[in-house]
Amino acid sequence: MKSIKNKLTVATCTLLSQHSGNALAIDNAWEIDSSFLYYSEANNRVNVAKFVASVGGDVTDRDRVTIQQVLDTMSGSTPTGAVKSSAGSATVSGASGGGGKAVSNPNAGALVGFDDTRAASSLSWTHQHDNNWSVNYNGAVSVEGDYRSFSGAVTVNKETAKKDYLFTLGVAGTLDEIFRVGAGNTPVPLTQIAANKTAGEGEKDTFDIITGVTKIINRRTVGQINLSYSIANGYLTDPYKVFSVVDRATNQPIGSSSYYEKRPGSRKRASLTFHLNHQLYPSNDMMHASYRYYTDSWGIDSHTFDFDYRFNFKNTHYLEPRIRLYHQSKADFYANQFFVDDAGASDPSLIFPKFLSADYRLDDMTSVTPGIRYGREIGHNGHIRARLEYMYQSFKNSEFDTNKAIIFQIAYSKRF
Amino acid sequence: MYKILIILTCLFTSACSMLSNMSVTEEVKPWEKDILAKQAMQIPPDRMFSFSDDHVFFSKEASTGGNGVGGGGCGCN
Repeated sequence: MKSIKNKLTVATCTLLSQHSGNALAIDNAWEIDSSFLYYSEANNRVNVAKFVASVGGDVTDRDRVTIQQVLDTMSGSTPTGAVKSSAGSATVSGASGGGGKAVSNPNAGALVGFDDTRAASSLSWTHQHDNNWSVNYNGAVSVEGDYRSFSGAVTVNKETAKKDYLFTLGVAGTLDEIFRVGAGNTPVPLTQIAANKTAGEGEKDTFDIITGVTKIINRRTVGQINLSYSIANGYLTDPYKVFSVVDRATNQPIGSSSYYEKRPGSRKRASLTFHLNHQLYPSNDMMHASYRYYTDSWGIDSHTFDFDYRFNFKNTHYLEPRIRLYHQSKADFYANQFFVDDAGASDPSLIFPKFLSADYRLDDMTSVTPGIRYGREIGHNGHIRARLEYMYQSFKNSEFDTNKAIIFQIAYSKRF
Repeated sequence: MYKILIILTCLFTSACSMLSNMSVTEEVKPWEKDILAKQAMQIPPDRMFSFSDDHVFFSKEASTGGNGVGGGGCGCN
């Protein structure tokens, strides 16, 4: 009797596993995914339109290839790092850089207009070595008016025999080239804009490694822990960002006082990330939660908490409120301006610290992003979803103490 | 006050029940993975939204990483 039971169990398992494999290989072998994202900051700051399209499919029983194309258009105005009382007009560009005007005024304005376009392509190939081992190879290229990036990555995944644990190890190398639009160069850091001192293109090499464990906790819960580490060396300064030299007594920038910023030539980052997905019983609603602790060698520590709750309706559509909370401490070398006591009687650059940046993104920051998502099945194996989110950032020391933005995205995917 | 106490007690009980459900480790057989196989139970649940989020927040904050490697850089930060 026991023998028959065992045989039946084995036969059932075999049938189930064969069916599962065939279904994956034949029914849903190819998938397209496309998206449009609109990002708009208040007060005519940055506007971004982002288009993404990807096509992925099984090219053999063990190989899956995905190609992705991204097109970003960016425009608007962005903080330069100079103080608002600076008398100058737009002289430098920011955000993603490109489209900035020529360096003509020694005092940078606090905001500057810009526009730029970015195109990026990536190719991803996953090979299933056997039932439990897979390797993903990824190559990507990104080009914009003042930046080029080339990267390659390999990620190895290993499942246990029972498939209750998945271990991941990934490494990536990235080469970035940085230069100002038009001029093709970078400014000499900590020099005045008016001095117009330039150097060649900047280069940055980045090495990333990530290791993680994904664990099936029970039938309704899965969790993941990732530990990542990154080392970047080279030109890590922003070639458009400047800072003002300000008279401490009057709190006014002194004449011809805007200087190009300088950041360290090396940055080490580490982060520990937790994910937890759970389907509730008996509602079958779902919740996704994640937390990330981040620290780096520039003195920045951050905490990111992300939570959403998906109300499922008849398994065909859902509504998903979301909240993301973020807090970071400022970089060691961040300052909104550089104060002097002698109002320009001597050359302030003689007493500059080794590194100095007024980039608001390196300041003490708290960010709250609530939002809502809606998705539904459409047609045969189609899925459309949209989200609307509001990002509110507040800064402790920056010239602009808040930044508010609307994020809207609509995406459509279909399996064949 | 009494009603608030009842509501808080209910909320606390629900939270405990949910946490209890999440923390119970049990072996899941292949034929019991219908829920885990759903796209919404993957990490990340929506790759397109996650990919876009990574780019938006990378360009506006000093932190990045934790969700994978590769994909290339950009001049936005």
